[in-house]
Formats: sequence, structure tokens, C-alpha cells
Amino acid sequence: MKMPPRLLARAPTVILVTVAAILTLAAPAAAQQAQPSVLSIDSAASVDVTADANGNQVTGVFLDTLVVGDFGKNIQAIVRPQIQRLANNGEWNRQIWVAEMRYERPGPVAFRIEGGYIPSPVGLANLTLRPHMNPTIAVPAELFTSIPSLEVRGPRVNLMSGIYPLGAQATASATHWDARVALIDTSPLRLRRVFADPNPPLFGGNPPRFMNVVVGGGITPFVGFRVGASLTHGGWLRAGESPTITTSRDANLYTIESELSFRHTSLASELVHDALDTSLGTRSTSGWYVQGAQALTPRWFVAGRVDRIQTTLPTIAGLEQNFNGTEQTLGFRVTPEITLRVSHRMRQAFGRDAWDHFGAASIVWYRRWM
Amino acid sequence: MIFSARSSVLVAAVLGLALTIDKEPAAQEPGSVRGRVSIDIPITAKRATSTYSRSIPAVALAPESELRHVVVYVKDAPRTPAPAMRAEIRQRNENFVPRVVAVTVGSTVEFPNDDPIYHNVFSLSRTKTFDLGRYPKGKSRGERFDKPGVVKVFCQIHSHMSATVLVFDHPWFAIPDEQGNFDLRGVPPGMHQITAWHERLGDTTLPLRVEPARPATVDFVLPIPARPEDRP
Repeated sequence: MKMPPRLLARAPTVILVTVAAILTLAAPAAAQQAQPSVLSIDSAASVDVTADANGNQVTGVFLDTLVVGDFGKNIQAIVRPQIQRLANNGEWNRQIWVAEMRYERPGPVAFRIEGGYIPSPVGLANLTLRPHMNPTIAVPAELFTSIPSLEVRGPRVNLMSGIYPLGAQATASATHWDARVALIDTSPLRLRRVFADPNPPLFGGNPPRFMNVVVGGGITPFVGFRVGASLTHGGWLRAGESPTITTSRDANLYTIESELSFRHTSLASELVHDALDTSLGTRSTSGWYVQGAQALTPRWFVAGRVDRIQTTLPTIAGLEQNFNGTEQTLGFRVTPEITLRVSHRMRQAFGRDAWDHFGAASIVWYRRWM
Repeated sequence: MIFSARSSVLVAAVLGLALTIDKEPAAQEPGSVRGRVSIDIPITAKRATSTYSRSIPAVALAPESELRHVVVYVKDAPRTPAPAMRAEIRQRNENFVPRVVAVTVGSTVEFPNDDPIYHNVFSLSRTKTFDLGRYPKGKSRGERFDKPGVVKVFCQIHSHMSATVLVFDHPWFAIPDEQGNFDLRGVPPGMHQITAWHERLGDTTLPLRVEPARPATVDFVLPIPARPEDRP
């Protein structure tokens, strides 16, 4: 799906006007029995230290705050500023990851529409991007591990990026099903940030805006078990991004996700398949992860994840490149707000036979203020 | 005269005995503590946020009255065995309902799940540490509380859910009604510290003399104790 540049430039305005119109037309909510708080604020922070087998250490710091303002009539404004010290290069990164207006109508068939900078409507892994929601220290590899370029002299992409795109999403759900459709300005294959490097190297800054359509849904046959899927279609490469890229290209991204919880156990898995249109034809890459968490006692828990990404080199499609990763975590809840974790990670990077070993420790703090 | 003297002695003896008889049982007869709790600052319930869910949760309503989240009790009460109770905290619309219960030592609190989603009730409090695990709608699990103290209860899946179980080793505690009225009966006579506890406003304690076989009155205006001149 390619958009004319003029229309693309107006996309944010169109989205905001659309959201404003929808909110204006929103049906009134049922009267409540008592007045809930206008503001809801919570914060999450984590500090993690990772060391490799040679003793090299890196420290990552993460702090975010989620602020929800309730305007009544089921209308909310949500903003989530975030500060992060990236472990790999020590740079501090400040972002706005969510800044949206939301209308939510509960009921047997509940309905939600939101617009602005929204949480990614694609996949399951994006939902673990707050440290207190992630059972391990590292996040799923598919979000931030660049795969070898699938386009000759083109940008490296992620299997599925952790994105907070500008866009709009409509969701409906009932007890046994949920469905959503979204229109976003970001390709899930390429990271896009609100505050980007003003003088980036080639492919190092924000990619162009690409209109992408996301359709997804899930079924919940019984409480604790959900299976979902999504399809994303839209541009991923723009003609002129580099001297060698002369044609804009589209991509399809398919995901299948599942969650299962019972007693003291929770499991989650996701399968992602990307099909990218390139100058060499359609190139595919896929990957999956499975993660689980098991409470041993009220304070102690163990968690683990297995990641795998399979891809090919652009010029030699038959030559497979794999990424494998595992993480095993032991956690201790000091208080309901503070959790300590230690973990062992193994990584087999693309094109390598050897496994790299890492040890990591983290402290996670989460506090709901009001 | 002799009659008169003997009569006087007899009368005095009878009176003395009568006073003794009257006084002895009265010293053991308990009193009661009545009063009313009011909250004079605006406090509001926490609203759940659901930024990261693919499904839309049911609306989370504020409780009908914050007074149901107050427990009035005799702070310095002697340890006194009291019958075990059965209480219930339901999980409904991603809230604990009620958010506060008060029970005696040895009591069991049931946690039924009314929501069409999993909940995972747990506590890391020193008084009682437990984890009930995940269970679906229609199921219930209980926990027995064998030590006095405050037990903060949470849901591992929904961080906005919280409740409190107050466990007492005596029977002199009460949760006010919707109007804020409470009545503690059978309180031992003497000077006592009467506390009104609210889950977010904390403790407010007032001294009170409890007379035998009489109701003593104490009112609370949370979070600041009522001034003596304000009391009726």
C-alpha cells in the first residue's frame, strides 16, 4: 500500500481530526455510582547489569511513567514519557512512547477507539515493554535484534520492532473474542521514535513514514487461554532512501500469538513471519519465542524464554542465517513493588556457530501513585 | 439505745454488704464504645488503567462509600480468644469487593473470582505471606489467618487491585455502616486507645474511658481526630 506524499504529509492531521470527530460522536457512558479519581499515575523503573564471559559489563537503566487523565464519559488521555540508558552504548534516550486519546465503552461487547501515539497494535511481545510486566530481564529478541539486510544496500530491519506509532486503532471485545483494526504511520519492521537523531547516518535515524494497516483478533476458548493472530500490510522501503533504492516497497507481517495461564504457571508464545518485497523478489524471514514463568513460593519465581529468528542473506537466498537465544531467570519479590532478578543468557548471533554467555542482574520497581 | 446502737451497726453492715455486692459485679461488667466516623477530605478510588491489553476490561467503579474501608478497634485491648469467622473478598470488575475486611485470629477469608478473567491473589505481608495462584470465574480459594496484624492483598496480574485483611486477637473491632456508625460491645472498663484505621488515611487514635455497663462515645473525623469541643 503506497500513499501519495501529499497525503502522507497530512497523515498526522487527518488522524487527529478523525479521532476528535469520533470522540465528539461518542455515546454517553452509564452513570457511575461514585466518582473515581481523575488522574491515575504509575511508574516503573529498572536497573540491570549484564556481564559477558570476558567480564565486560554494561548497565541499562529504564524509567517510565504512565499518566491517565479521565475526562468522564469514558474518555481518557494517556501519556507515557520514558527515559532509558541504553546498555549497548551508554546513551540516554528520552522518548514519548504513548500520547493518545481514548474512548472506551464497556459492556457485553466492549468497544475502544484510540488515536495519537498508540501502543503497538502488532503482536504480543510489545506488551512486555514495561519491566514489571516482563518475567525475564531481556525482552524478546525479535523487538530489537536487527536481522541481516534483506535488500541490497538497504536498511537492516527487525522481525517485529517495539514501536509506538502515530495512528488510530479500534478494538472490540467480548468474553470469548477480541478484534482490532489499526492504521499506523510506522512499519513494524523499522524502529521509529518521536525524538530521533537530527543528524543520523544513513538508515540510522527515523525511517520515512509508511502507512500500514493492521488487522488482528483473538479467541479465548476458556479463561486463561487466548490465541490471536494479526496481519500488517504497508510500505517498508521508500524510493530515494539511499542512492541504490529506486522503488518503494511493501511488506506483509503475520503474527500468531498464544497465552496460557493456570495455577502458578503462565506461558506465552509468538510466531512472526515477514514477507518483504525487495529488488530481488520476495524475501521471507520468520521467528518465534516461547516464554514461561512459574511461581515457586509467594516470593520466589523462575522464568525463561527461548528465541529463534531465521532469515537468509539478500544475495544468496539459499544461505540461511539463524539467531538463537535463551534466558533463564530466578526472581525474588522483596515487596509487591520491588523485584530482584538474576539470569543467565545464551546468544548465538547471525552467522556464528558459537554461543555467547551472559550473566545479568536487575532490580525492578513499580509503583502506582494514584 | 442499745437497740439503736445495734440497729445502727446492723444497718451499716447491711449497707456495707449491699455496697460491696453492688460494687463487685459492676467492676466486671463491660461497657461499650459507640460513635461515628466521617471523612472530611475528598478521597477517591483508584481507577484501573489498561493501556496494554488486547481486550477491554469491564468498567471499574469506585466503591459506594469509603466508610466501608474503615475499621474501628480497641488498640490496647488485651489478648482475648474470639470465635473464628468466615469472611469473603470477591474479585469483581478487576476490584476486590470489599477492599477491607476485619476478622479474628483463626478465621478464613475466601476469595471468589467473579470476573471472566484470571486473577492471582497474593500477599507478602509479614503477618501472612501466601499466593493462591490463578483461578478462573466461579472458583474460590481461601486463606486462614493465624496471626494478628495487617495483611495487604494484591493481584499479581492486575497491579491496580488491592485489599486489606485486618486480623485481631480480640473481638473489639467493627467496620462502620454506610452512615459511619459503629458499636463495639463488651469492652473491658478502663482507659483505652480507640483507633479508626483507613486503608489510605492510616491510623487515627483517641483516648477514651469506658465505664462499666455504659456506652462511651467517640467520633472520628478522618484523617484528623475530632477536637473535644466538636464532640456532642
